[in-house]
Amino acid sequence: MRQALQEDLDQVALRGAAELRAARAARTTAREAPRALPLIWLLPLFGLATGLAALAIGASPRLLTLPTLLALMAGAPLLFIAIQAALAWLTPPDRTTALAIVDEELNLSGRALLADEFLAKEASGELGPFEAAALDEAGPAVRRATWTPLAFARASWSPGEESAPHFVAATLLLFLYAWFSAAIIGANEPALQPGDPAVVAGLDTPSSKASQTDADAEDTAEQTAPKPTPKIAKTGKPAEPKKGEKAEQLPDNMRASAGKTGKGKSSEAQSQSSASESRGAPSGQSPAPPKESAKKAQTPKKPKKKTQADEPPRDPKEESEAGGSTAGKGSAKGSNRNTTTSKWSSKDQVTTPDDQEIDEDEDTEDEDEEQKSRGGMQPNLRDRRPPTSRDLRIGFGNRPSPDANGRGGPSEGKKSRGTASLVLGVPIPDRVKGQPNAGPTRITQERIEPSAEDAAEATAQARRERDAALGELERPAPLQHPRLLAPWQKKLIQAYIDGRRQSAPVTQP
Amino acid sequence: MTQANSDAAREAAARFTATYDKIKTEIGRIMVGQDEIVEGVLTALFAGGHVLLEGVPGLGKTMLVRTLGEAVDLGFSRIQFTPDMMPADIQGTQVLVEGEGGGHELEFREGPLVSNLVLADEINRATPKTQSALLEAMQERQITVGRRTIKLDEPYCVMATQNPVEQEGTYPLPEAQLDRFLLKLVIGYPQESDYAAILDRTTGSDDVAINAVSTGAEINALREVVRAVPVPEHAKTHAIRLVMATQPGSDYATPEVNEYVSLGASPRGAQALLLVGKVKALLDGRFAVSTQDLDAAAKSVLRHRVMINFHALSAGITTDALIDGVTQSLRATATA
Repeated sequence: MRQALQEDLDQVALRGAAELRAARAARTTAREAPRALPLIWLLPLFGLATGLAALAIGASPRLLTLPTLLALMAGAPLLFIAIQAALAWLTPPDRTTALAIVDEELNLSGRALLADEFLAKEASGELGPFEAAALDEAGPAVRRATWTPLAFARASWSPGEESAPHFVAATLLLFLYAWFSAAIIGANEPALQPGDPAVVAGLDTPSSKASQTDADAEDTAEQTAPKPTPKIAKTGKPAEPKKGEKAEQLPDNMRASAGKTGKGKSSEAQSQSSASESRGAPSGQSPAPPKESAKKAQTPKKPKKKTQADEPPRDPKEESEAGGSTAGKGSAKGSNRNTTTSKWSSKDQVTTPDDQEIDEDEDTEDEDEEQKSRGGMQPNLRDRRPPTSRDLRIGFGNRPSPDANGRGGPSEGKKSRGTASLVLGVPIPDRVKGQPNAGPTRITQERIEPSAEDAAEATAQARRERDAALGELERPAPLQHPRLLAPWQKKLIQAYIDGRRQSAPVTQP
Repeated sequence: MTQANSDAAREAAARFTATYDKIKTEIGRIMVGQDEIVEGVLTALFAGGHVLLEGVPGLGKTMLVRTLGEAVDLGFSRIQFTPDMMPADIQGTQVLVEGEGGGHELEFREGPLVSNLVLADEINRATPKTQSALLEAMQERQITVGRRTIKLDEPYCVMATQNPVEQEGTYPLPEAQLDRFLLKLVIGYPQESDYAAILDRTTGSDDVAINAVSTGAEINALREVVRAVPVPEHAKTHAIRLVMATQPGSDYATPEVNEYVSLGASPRGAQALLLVGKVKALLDGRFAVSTQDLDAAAKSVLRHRVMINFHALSAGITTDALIDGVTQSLRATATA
């Protein structure tokens, strides 16, 4: 009987484990599906970002094709969910958990679990009467659990309203990606092909001579065409450089350069940069004396189109000659030299930050050495400050009086500490030095919105007549100064008041 | 031998169920409705614990306890707690009595605590000093007065009542004393269908007499049966996690517990869960405790052991709601 119970328990445990695995996989799918949803818009977003970044640094953007991207957008979330579900499925549940699941599902009140536990106890001979009774009672329930279908509730997930933003974002980004790959990349691809490093590097190889010849021919055709190049239009005659002939004959977008001189830029970029720089700084293109312009025109290394950044460093003699050109709109006071081409100005503008950096580095190294020599027992000496001034003199702080001339007269103030402070007559200011008052004044401004307040209502009304006699009025003291009112003035005023009284008699209350 | 053992267990379980039903039926002759309360009181009696009954006046708390005392033929005493009551009033004191020879001598007079069933009516109206006098009786089953220590007879059961309203001038029970009650039963108003029977029984001329259907000795024997019910490991683990889940900051605490509970249940709560679970398993016809038994006992066992904080009070969160959340959380974790 116990053997049959053991077999039933094993079967129930297997059933429970299978159910639990399936339930865990379903629950993992339901849990991970919302987390995997952002992948459908993150992928096109990532593609767009990498494409834009490649364009920004001048590299060739390599984008996925639309079908590939669509496959990735659909496959990546599914793959992510499948991996998570597989991991959940492969995690084996223990026997106790599997039996507990069956107990819970079939409402066995824990009979399967306790039967499993008490069977082990019976094998070791520790079974009590109630445990034996519990085993007897659990037998039929466990037998029933071997064939009763388990209706284990499994979690499921269906895309609801919360997933709509992800799909909308994915659709928008997909359209954007398609437009980007079609418009931008499609337009850049033919321009970038000749600029490919392999092509540029292969210009000097014998195998590329044929293509080079073709390119030269096209360039020659372009030069002979009636359409004038900007260079010709500016100078009025075509430049004939010998050393740079090869580069001149290449298409504009194939011109190679190096480093800061803008050799890596295309001709369009060079023309843009030259335009911007010519606006920002005076250059040799400004009107210059005919002698110098002729000299520049004879120099083959310096075509007029070149900017200052493209120019190699000039020798001092040349710079002094170039300084005579009237480049700046406002000339410096006291000098008609162009500040941008003079030695001191360029040195001042360029070398000052470097000097500061060098000084700071030296100071830091010194302090580090000092700290090391003290074994780190002291605080950072970088924070050290000069000691607090204990100068109690009045007036000019630590500086001598500006009126002192060393020949008597006003001199430096006497110190008011020590014995001198005990001497009467040495004033000690009762205020903070350097402050106009006793100390710092803090002004706090608060922005307060005006708000209505309840107030007693005041009704405007006319002043009423006096309802009682005023009584005796004090008469002003007689005028002491006879000049204040002359006798005729007194008579005039008295007559005026009498006239007023007669014309408008005072009403008695 | 195993078969004989299991038969003995079956007989014990059957005897327990029969006695339980007899007492319940006898109480039912007086008490109308309130089945859960009656079952709770009987569970505490068979599990060897004390009961805290909470309910508004007029719901039959006192009558239930008195009827129980009569049904099991146990000594019954009632203490009406008041703020001026002193420990000597309930434990007993020495009084000066006149001897046979005309002299006087001090004689110890036992207080109402020395009984089997003690009804501590409105226990929260007594001062903490008097409430503390109950601690020793409830936990150690003895009282000490001066140099005299009195062992209390088993079964000993304190059934205290308190009124949830009219809290003015009361002294809420301290946690130490609340923890000593096995169950806290909240008595609600009876159902509409019960009112007619209550009125008939209490306003008519017929006086219902309660018969003693059991004895204290039988109760003690059945307590041994209850203690013999085994607890499987998974049920024990469930009880431990259930108690730990009421403790804020524990591994099994729910977010609500962490937010609203200031003090969780103690290990004594786990002991009470298992004892009550054993009684429930026997009443359900099983011979071992299951997790369902523990979940069913969780509210009445843990509601007075979990102290909620001010935030819970202001948010209207009750301990019953928190315990429900705890049991659901543990069940979901077990099936995960």
